Amino acid sequence: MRANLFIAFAAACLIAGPAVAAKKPKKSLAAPKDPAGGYLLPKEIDKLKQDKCAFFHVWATWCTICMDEMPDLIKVLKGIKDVKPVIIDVSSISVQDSFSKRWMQQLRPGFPTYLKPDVKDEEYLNAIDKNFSGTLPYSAVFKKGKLLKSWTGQVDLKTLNAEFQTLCAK
Amino acid sequence: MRHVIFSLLFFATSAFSLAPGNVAPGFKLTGTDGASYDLKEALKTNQAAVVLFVATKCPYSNAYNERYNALAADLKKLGKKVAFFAINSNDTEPMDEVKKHAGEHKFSFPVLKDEKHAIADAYKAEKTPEAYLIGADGKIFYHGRIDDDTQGKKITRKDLWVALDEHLGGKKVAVAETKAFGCSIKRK
Repeated sequence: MRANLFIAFAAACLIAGPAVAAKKPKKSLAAPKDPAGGYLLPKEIDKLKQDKCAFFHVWATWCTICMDEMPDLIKVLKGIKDVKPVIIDVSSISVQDSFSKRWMQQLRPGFPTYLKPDVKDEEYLNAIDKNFSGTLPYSAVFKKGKLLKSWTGQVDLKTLNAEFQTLCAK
Repeated sequence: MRHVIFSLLFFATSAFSLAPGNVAPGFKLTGTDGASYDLKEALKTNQAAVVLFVATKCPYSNAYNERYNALAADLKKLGKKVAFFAINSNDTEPMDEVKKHAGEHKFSFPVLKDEKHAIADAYKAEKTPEAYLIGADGKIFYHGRIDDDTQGKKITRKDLWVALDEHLGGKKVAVAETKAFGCSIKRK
């Protein structure tokens, strides 16, 4: 009985195997793109600001507010069109490697997220916004390179989309 | 109207910390050693004062624990009188916790507890660590970080020390304001 089942299984594999191999994998089955967009160098930050509406959000694992709001912030951003989210993790490299890259993947943002490379804080802060003091969480809206608004502290998720529309439509 | 209120809440930008040139707000606070510390009194007998906003739970502040001790020790060796004040303004970190933390890290200096973050508010201090250097005239002559590498592995400039050295040497402080990432001061 067991031998018969094995033969039937082997035969099915032989028949189905080439057919399966010949098929192109469906896009939906492809491995999800790594949501960590990788290290974002200071010189690359300006390019991202040039979007017609770019939402910058800077966070770190040691920032309790940042960690608490991130899952909901990602959910909201996934549902907003015509806004480029630029989420930057400024945790230390060791924490990025041991925790935050994996955590961000689990949140499945569906858009690239970024990591601060091992560069001096001040250079990085100034590349984002010269008035950015370094207090987290920090958020800002840029339109074609121009800073429209910036703030520190929790993001009001209820009004986020409306604010983008108001700001970026101007 | 409702939209305006939402906008104000949403885009509440941080007030900037007191910049160099401003008069430093005075304070009289109790330290982890039980003694009372008064900035104005200290400035009568010292050439300058270091005011550091610190925390017990912030990894950025904790990365500097050994360097806080080294800074306090170096100030004693300096041969010039400089007062040193470490202040904890976090509402989430009560005096008992601040005392325990200071003991665990063998701080050679008392940490002053800023109840209800009144002093942090007066300085408009935003984060930890955040440093101010104050001259005998009561004016801030440096604001910002301690050095340019939180991890302490690639320090290229000890900003606070350089500013202090320049000031005590009678020179104009070349870089009077610097920036770094830090943990927000927890205000309830």
